[in-house]
Amino acid sequence: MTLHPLIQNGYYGQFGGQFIPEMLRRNFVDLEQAFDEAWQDPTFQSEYRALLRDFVGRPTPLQRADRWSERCGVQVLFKREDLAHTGAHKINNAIGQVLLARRMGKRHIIAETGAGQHGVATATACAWAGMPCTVFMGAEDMERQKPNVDRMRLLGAEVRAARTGSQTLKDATNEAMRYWIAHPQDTHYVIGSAVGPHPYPMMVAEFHGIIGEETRTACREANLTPTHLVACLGGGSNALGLFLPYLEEEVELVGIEAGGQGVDSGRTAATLEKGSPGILHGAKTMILQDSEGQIEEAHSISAGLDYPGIGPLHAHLASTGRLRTSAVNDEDALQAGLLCTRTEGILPALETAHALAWTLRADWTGDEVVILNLSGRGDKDLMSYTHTSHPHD
Amino acid sequence: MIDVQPFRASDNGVHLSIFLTAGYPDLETCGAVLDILATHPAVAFVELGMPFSDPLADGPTIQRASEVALAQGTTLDDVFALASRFRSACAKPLMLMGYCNPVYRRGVETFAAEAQSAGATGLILPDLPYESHHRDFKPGLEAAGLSMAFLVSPTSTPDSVSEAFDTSSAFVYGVANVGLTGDAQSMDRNAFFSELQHHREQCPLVAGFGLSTPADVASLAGLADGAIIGSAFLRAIAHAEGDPAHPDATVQRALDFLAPFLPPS
Repeated sequence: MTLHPLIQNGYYGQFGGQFIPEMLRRNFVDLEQAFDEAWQDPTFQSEYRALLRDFVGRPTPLQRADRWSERCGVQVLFKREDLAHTGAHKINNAIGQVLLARRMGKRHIIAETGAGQHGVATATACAWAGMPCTVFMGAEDMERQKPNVDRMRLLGAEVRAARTGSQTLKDATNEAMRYWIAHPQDTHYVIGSAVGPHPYPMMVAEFHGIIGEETRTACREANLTPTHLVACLGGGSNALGLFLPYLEEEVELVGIEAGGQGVDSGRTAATLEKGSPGILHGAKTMILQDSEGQIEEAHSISAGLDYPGIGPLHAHLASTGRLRTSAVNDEDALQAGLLCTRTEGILPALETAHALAWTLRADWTGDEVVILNLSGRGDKDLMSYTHTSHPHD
Repeated sequence: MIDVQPFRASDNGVHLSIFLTAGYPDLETCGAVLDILATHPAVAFVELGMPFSDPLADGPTIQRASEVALAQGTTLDDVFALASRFRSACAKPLMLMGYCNPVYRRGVETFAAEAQSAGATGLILPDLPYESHHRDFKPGLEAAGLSMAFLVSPTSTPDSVSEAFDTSSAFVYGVANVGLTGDAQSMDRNAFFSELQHHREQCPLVAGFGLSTPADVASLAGLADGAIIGSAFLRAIAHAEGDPAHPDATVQRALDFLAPFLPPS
C-alpha cells in the first residue's frame, strides 16, 4: 500500500500543502526528492529494515489481551509498540529520517518533542549515527517530562527550552522551524508526527507503516480478521502507521483524541471534534483557533497529545468519513491507564491510555476483533499516575 | 491596474521602509508612531505587521511585539483602523504583512475588501505558497486592487526566483540574510542581489531581514529599490519591559531612530 493515490500536488484532499517561508522552499524540494529516491532504493530499504530488526527490536508482538477483552466484552489485541526500543513507536520514524538525513549529506539533526518520546527516539538515532542533535521542547513540558529530558541529555543531545506561547509542543515546533529557517543548508529537521508541510505527513506515515504491515502479517498467521483498528491521535503518527496498509480494506479506523477536561470545557485537544480548517506549522488541516485565526492553546494531561492541530492526512480521512473519531477526557484516560497496569501488567503511556479508555466504553456486539495500538510505555508518566487523586489545576 | 512605480527608486537611491507591528507597544502609541512614519521625509513606505500567535518566520523581536499586541487584544479590525489612520495622513504605500491563517479565517475576499477600503496597498504573507496564491488569494486580491510581494532568498531555486518576479505585483522582497527577521548573520549580500539585477526591470526589488543602520541601507545603492527595517526599529522604540508606554517618549525615540536616515541638508 502506498499513499501516493491520495496525494495531489502535496495535498491530501483539501488538506496539506506547503505553507512555508521561501527560505525553506529548497529544503522541501530536496527532501521530497530524496525521500522518494530513498524509499524506492533497495539499499536504503534493506539498511532501514535491518535497523528496525536489530536496533529497534522489531517485529513487536501482537498480543491477545485476555483480561482486557473480558472487561470490554470483545476480543482485543494489543500491538505492543511499547516494546520497541526507547519505549514507543517514535523510533521507527526517527531512525528512518536520520538515515535519510545522512544520505542527503546533512550534518546536524533537530527535532521538536512534546512528551519527550520523539526527542528521546531522535537523540537515540543520532547517538547511533554519530550525528549532533538538538531537541526543542516546551519549557512546561520539560517540567512535566523531566526523565525524558535527562535521557536525551545522556544520549548527547542538546535540549533547548521553548519559552514562547504555551511553552508546549506547538511552541517547540515553532522554535525548531525557526532554527531550520536560520540554518537551512546543513540541518535536517526530524518532525516527530504526521504533521507539518508535505512531504512530512506522508513520509512519517510511510516510516511508521511497518506497524500496520506487521499487524497484517500477524493477523494472517493467527487467522484473524480485524474489524476495528484503534489508536490515539495527537499529531497522529502511531494511528497512521497502523492504518496505512488497511486504508482500502473493510475495517473501521478509530482515532481517539484527547478531550482534556471535556471537549466543551475550553481546555481540550480534540482538534477534529472542536477545530476548524486553518493553517498551522506549514499545512492546511483542522486546528483549534479563535474567530481571528489565532491559534488556541490545547490542553491535555498527556504532553504528547497537547497539540492544537492534527495531521492533514487525518483531517482528510475524517472529512471523508473513512476515519471515525472520538474524544476521551484526562480523568478517564488516567483511570484506563491504571487499570491496564493492574490487570495487564503493562504501564501504558498516557497517550495510549486514551485509546484504552475508549475500548472500555464503546458499544460492542461481542463479535468484533479490535486491534489497539499500544503506542508507548508509561514510565515517563509516573508522576501523573501517582497523583491521580489530586485535581488538575 | 496595480502600479509598481511608488516602490521604484530613482537612479541609485534606496527607499527606506519601516516595519511596525500593529498594536505594539499598544494601539494608541502605535497610531502615534504611524503618524510619524506617514509624514517623515526619510520614510518612503511602511509595512504594518498583522500580529499572529505563531509567527514562524520572525525573530525574537517581532515575535515579542506580536505577543504584546495580541495580549492586549489587537484584532484585524484594529489593524484596518490603523491603516485608515495612516492613509488619511499620507499617500505613501502601506503593505500589510502577516501570516496566511488570519487572512484565510477572515475569508480572502472579505479581508481584501476591508484592507482596500482601509487604504492598504498590498500584502506580504511569507507562508503563502504560489499555488495557494493563484487558487485561493489572487482573485480576491485583484478584485480589490491589492498588490502582493513575494520573497526570494539566497536559498531560492532559479525557478522560484522567476516565479517571485512573475507573480509579485508590488515588489519582490529580497531576504538580505539567511535566517529570520532581525538576524544579523553574515552572508554575501552583494553577490545575491547582483544576481537578481536582471529581474528588476520586471518588478522592483526591496531588501529586508537583518538591516538596521543607514550604512546598511546605503550599501544597497544600485542593488535594490528599497530597504525594510523592522526589528531594529521595534527595538529602538521599545520602552523598558514592565513600564507603561508613553506615546510622547516612544514618538521621540522613533524620531531619533529615523533622523540619521535623512539625507544631509
